[in-house]
Amino acid sequence: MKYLAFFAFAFFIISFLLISYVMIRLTIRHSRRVKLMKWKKMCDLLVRTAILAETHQINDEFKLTPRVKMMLSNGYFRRLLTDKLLVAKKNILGHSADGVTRLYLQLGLEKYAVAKLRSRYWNLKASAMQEIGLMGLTIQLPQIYRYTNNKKELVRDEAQLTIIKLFGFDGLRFLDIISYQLTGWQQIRLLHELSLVESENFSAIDKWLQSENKSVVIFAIKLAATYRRFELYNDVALHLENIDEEIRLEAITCMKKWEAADAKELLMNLFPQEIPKNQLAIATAFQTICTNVDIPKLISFLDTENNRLKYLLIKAIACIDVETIKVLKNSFSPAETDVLMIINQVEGEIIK
Amino acid sequence: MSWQSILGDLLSYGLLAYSVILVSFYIFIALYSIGELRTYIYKNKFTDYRILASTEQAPGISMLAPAYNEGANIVENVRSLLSIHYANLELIIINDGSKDDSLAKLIEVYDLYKVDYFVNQQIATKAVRGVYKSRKAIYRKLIVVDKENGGKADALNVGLNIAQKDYLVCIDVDCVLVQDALLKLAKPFLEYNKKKVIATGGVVRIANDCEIKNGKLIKVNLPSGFLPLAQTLEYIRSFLLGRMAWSRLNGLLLISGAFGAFDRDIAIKAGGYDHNTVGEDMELVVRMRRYMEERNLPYVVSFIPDPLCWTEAPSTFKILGRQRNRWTRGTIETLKIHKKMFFNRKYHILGMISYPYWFFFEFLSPIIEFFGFIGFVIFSLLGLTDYKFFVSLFALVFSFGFLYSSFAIFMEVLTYNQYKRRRDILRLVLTAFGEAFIFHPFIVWSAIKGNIDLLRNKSAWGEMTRIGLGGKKKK
Repeated sequence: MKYLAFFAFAFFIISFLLISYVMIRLTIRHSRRVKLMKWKKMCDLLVRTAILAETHQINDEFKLTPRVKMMLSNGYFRRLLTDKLLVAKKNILGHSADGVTRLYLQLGLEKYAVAKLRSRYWNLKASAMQEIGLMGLTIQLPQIYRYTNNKKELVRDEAQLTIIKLFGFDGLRFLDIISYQLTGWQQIRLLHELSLVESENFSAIDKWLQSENKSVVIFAIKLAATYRRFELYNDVALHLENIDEEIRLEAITCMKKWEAADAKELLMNLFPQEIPKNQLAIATAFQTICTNVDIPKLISFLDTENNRLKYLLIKAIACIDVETIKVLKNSFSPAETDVLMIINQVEGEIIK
Repeated sequence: MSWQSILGDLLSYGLLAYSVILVSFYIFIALYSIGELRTYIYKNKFTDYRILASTEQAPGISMLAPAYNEGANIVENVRSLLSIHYANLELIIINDGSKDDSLAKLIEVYDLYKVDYFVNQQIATKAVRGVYKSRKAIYRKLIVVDKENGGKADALNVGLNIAQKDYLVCIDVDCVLVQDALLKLAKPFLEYNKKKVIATGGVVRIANDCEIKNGKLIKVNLPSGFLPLAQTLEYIRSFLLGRMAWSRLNGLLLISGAFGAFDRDIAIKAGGYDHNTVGEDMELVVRMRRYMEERNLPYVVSFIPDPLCWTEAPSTFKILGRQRNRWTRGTIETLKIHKKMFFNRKYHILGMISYPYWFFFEFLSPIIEFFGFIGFVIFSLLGLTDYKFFVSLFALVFSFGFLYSSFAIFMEVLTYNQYKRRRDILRLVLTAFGEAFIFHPFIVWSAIKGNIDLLRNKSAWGEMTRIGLGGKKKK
């Protein structure tokens, strides 16, 4: 019983400490509210000055009050200002963005980013690289490049993005060395970042298409599809028969995007033995790459239990020749209600 | 030693052992959730979700919202759902045989017309009377399905049959989603390479007394009534601590029916929602997990702690009792359907930890608590057990409950901090103190009633009268 009472007492004491901590924290936050508002205003003013700096002042230093310089030793203020500068830099372009970078450098904030980069905490490392990338600073590059294959996912993701931000398509060379898989989310981020830089006739996709890293192959196919690198047709087409179903799916999607009529025969041959998910992707591709001569073959594929596949195949036929599905409709007996309903649906969609 | 005193000792020490194990489990959950929360917040602090909103690589989402007699608010609710930021989206409203003018209102306001639509009956459902689409391009994402009444599970299954996208988000039509809810919910599906993410759960928060305008959350307020307040605290504990810890363990069994995302293929292969249980949301997650386990397919059920979905909580004992009664029956039915997994090593964490946890601490807990309390009172009155022991045990359990709630409040303030005023936090602390005497006994009693109703084969959903977030009373 003594132990029970002791633990009950201990639990109450811990609760009291937790609640006290929360209340003190909120009280401090509340009492600093006015001060914080002032700091925020100061930061906003500084950022505004940087954004509105005239073009001819490009090499001039911003006039900073002694108070601002003094405030930089305050960690909270520095973080607040850095965050505001980063948000501004993210959302603007041109001279205004250059002004933000100039102010950032003039305030010496990059040295804090470098210190964060050397931190042993992965979240600080990642945050530092975001800062460096956004500000376009070519500092600590060997270290950042090494981080592109770091075991911590967030560190390597941010390192890869930073390299792209700084070097555009040339930065993609990290694809040569990474041993970890790129997640779908990271691929989206990389493609987005690449879309912001000037598209060049970058090389090495053919090499990445042969990579032993599956995600690099998938990403390379996405690059080939997005940037319409038709000269890589043969390399991508080889992946239509890859042993990995996800790579095959990406290759099919690429062919669809390219509207690659040349791949038609290959896709038609592969169609019967593909897994259902990839069959759906091929059927979608048929909508753009097939022609009238392919209609008999497409009709033969309709002999399937998969209604979703039937729908896509009928839609492909309708996309080629809408009249054919009217003929097709008559070829089915009224008892085959499913397929007739699908035809009606496709008719409705196409006519609309 | 008489048999009566042996019985008294058995009861005392049995309850003590159960309490110690329960407390240990909760301590583990509380501490284990910290790492998951911290990692999530660090990882997503600088995430630019706008990328996902605009890219053609974003996973396609079919949002399923069943509606039954929602005529009072259906137009506004649909408008709110249509305004969610997500490009690759279709919104499927399933009118589950409403007796009011829900469908007519939708047809009129959204300029709907009946289309020829093949409903792929991958899962058997009640008959679909018609599928409607809008003539206006601005509402091209909207599909309205009119079907015969068959209950929520049946309506969701119709949605599953109709959905064209790879992922499903199932929501209650009257929930208020924050604008980037789908972007955040979709992201986990893209984050794994070696494992398939089969479902993602999101946090549901209490919207009572919050400011809501045109279906959008304008200002978060702490509920004024005691019951919604106690549920607010309960939801913080459950979502911020419990589910985050289970997510880290990859042992999550429940994704709220009010807001969750699923892999459509796996949901269909697993057989869709079960009509025969009132806990269809939990049952589907368990069945999807079981499907993956039995095929040895690597998978994850993830959970994100951002407060994305806001819903109205019952504000009367009557409605709350019905809800908790149903939840209890749903839990028991799900455990019964999947009893094969109980301590079955073949199902790994699912069979060895998650299922036993739910069995011992979710299903049995109210029963042990209820009968333990009655037993103690009787034995104490008869002088067969020491009442001081009972008081000490009660103090231990009560103080731990208070500590667990305090820790949840602490984590809330440190992470999402939805209630910023000190007064609000104090009210939550007071609620944590008071709930053990009013709210918790009522929840235990509702669970006992749920057990009794199940034994008597009652399978009613229970009418959920709501005041409505816009102030209108609805059922």
